[in-house]
Amino acid sequence: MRYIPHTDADRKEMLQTIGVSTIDELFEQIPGNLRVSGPLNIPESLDEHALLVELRKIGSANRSTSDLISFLGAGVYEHYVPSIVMELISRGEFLSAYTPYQPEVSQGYLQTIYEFQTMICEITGMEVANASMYDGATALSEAVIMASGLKHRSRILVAREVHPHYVQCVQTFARSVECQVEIVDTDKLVDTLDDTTACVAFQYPDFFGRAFNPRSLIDAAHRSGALAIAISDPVALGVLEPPGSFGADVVVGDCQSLGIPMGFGGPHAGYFAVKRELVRAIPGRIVGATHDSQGRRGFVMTLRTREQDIRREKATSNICTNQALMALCATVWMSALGKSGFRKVAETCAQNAHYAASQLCRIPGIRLRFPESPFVFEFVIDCGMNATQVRDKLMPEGFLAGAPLGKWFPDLQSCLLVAVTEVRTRDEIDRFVTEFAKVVS
Amino acid sequence: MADFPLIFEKSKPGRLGAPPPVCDVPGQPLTDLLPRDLIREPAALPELGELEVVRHFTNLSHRNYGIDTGFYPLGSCTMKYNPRVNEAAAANPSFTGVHPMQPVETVQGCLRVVHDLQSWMAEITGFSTATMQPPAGASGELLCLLMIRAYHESRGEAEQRRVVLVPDSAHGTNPASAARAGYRVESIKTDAKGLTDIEDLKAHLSENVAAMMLTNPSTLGLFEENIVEVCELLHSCGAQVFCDGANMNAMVGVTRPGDHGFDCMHLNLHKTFSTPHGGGGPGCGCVAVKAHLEPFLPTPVVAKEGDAYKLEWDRESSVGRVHAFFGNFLMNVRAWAYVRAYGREGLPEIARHAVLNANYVQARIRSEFPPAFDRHCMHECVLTAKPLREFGVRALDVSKRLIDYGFHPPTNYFPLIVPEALMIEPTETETKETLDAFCDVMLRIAQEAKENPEVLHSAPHNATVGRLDEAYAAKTLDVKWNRNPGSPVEVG
Repeated sequence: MRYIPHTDADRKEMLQTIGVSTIDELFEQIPGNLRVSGPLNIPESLDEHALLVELRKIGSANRSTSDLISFLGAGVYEHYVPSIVMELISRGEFLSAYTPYQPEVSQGYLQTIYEFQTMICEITGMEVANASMYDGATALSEAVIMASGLKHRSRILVAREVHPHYVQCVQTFARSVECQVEIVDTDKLVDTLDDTTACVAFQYPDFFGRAFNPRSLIDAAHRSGALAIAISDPVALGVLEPPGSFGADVVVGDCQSLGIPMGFGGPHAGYFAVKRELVRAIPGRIVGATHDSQGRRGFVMTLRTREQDIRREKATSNICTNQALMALCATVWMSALGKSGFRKVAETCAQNAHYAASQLCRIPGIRLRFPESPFVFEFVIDCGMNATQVRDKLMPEGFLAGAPLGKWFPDLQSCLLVAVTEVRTRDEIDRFVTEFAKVVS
Repeated sequence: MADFPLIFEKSKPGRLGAPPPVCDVPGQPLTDLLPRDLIREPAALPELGELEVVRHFTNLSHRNYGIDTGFYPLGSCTMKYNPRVNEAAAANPSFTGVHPMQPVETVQGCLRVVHDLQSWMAEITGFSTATMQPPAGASGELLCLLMIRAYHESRGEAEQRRVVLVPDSAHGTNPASAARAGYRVESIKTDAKGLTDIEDLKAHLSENVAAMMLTNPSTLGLFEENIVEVCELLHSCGAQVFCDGANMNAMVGVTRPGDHGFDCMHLNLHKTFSTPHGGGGPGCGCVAVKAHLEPFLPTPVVAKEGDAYKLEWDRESSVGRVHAFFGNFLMNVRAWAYVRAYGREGLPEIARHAVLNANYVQARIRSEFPPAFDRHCMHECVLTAKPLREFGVRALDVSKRLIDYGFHPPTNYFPLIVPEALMIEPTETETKETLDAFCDVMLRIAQEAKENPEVLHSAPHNATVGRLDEAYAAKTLDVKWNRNPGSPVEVG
């Protein structure tokens, strides 16, 4: 049997040692009427070759970046991934390890997490980062719940210009812990803050790609005694002053843009970074440095008394796993590109996006929806017609044109959120603009 | 010996790594694109050449133990072989290169994988349908409780039902998830046979109970023989019953929780269905439900209409979204490959051999490490190192000594109700020879405990580091590398 190495002789000897004559006898605890009688309604087994052929066939029903030129972002981006990234994270010692509860045999992983924490702090401008979370949406949900618990306040303000899926997750999770979530325009947040507000969560750059100076918002949050939570794409922070520099208490986001495949939305990894004074309240795992009896440096999971397996119902969160393998992916990616490569990626994104925006705006009837707002690599264009139609017409031409915004923002039916990363070439952008002009003419 | 360097300690200013794509559009000064007050100095990531990066992580991998390294009998974690064909399947660019917000017509292959798994997981567990959206087991648990809460709300009983019952043997995630769903937790005792204490359960039943969270087989590695009665008791007072599917590896193809009376359950694809644990995630926490909970499933629901797959958003009773997109999708591809590799004929052999292996280990070493409950176990055995206490040796010492012999330790001190617990889950993918080698070492360690306990107390002796000072780590909280090292700062 596949993956089960027992021979008939093995089974016989083992049963003898146990003192039973059949494997069935070992299941005597299960009442007879609860046993599965016939075969399950599952397809028959496939050998490895047939399995891969079948899955390739299924995969061919998708369209992907293999055959599409993508300008679609909205929280998930196509970026360059050096070949060494997948090679290294596929090593069995990493792939097939469990959570590093036994630090003496897990120093490899523990050190990579410590390095990950350091790099996330550096990019976000924060003092402490955890070992990662399921995704950016979970990280945000955990952040607002943490704020509510710390402040003993139940009012959660979330900017309307936060990724709609993130807002939906916050609404799902905050409700059960008796938090009231209010969705407010970013420019009205300051006036909405009051002394019942636990936190204000805003995206920087926002969902529409707009960069802005968040200092006055953060200061206002602090004057109300609320935490300021920023949601940021890490590649945008390759060029933008990080939220930590403006005094944000918490910075969360998704690491997908740090070398993780889009993979139809997962697995990615959320990051969660805070000021040092909040370290004991944060969810998830944290790795710290220490030493053994001979003074050798080593790493362990620390502040474990916050966690569910020890603290049970009083834990800071129910989350056990991080997304270790994806955090490792991000760590290798950041290491491979390094200081200058990471900067270069962010700058090329910005150059490509500004070039694309200016070319698109040359098309009659096409304009930037927010012409006054600076952006890094994502921007909103007003197509002058239904944006979903524009997207659908560009698909047969081989372009993923962007995210139509009307579904979430009824006043933006004609608007398309366009992302341009470092992997796009001038030729691809020019061709996109040409086809775009045909579609909207 | 010098410390193994951090990647930052190998960095040299000006050294270039992998070259990103060349920018071929007309460039402008950054200050023309962004306001000056928003432009930062480059983030201080390390600066290494590509080969140095490869060596750094390769050497770190050598300092880590995985299933690929050796036997990993970590109880409740199901550390079985992660087949490489699953990895090959999930690396297909037709899956990795799909954006989750593409039009639905262009993601039919992905939706097919999700939909197939929903059907197969429902069939394997005996429920009517399943969702693949939760990204981990804990997330699946929480989702189940949120759906149960919505169910009670739909019946106008949410206000009164504020209690969730959890056995004292349960994993800590259960009560933590209950708290996160807004519930008060009450603990139910375990009886002398290692099962749910029916009398204690009855004493806790009332119309205030929203649900019970039950792991079956329990964390003691025992099947709840009275599971039908337990479920009936809870249903009779209007409560729902959630099955924690962490131990599904004992049941695949043999028995189905849906048939036991449970209303919903979660599965860990990274346990039973062989997706890699990856050092602590990504997991995948499929949730299966009975028909009465279907209206509350998270959106979007993946459904099939004719030959096409679609996403259903308009479900007014849905608890909402629990993941930014569709969960850890590439884990679904791996689990799909795993189910098809075994097929309907093969799946029951997983549970049968997992149970065989666990009982074999229990039988071979019970003379020194007696089972907490003296009966056949399911897929894992919970033994105790209590007899070694008189020699001053604890379960942790046994575990650390195992490292010297090349094995990963079992789970220690869990379940909490078993003193000096050693929870051993061999899984079905290990050979008799591996199990014998492990058992021989366990018996040898028991001898060492009696003759030379010090060798256990100071173990491990030949790992990359010895036992680490965890108190120091918690006190100093050195959680990121400091370019200008001074004495670590203590925080309150």
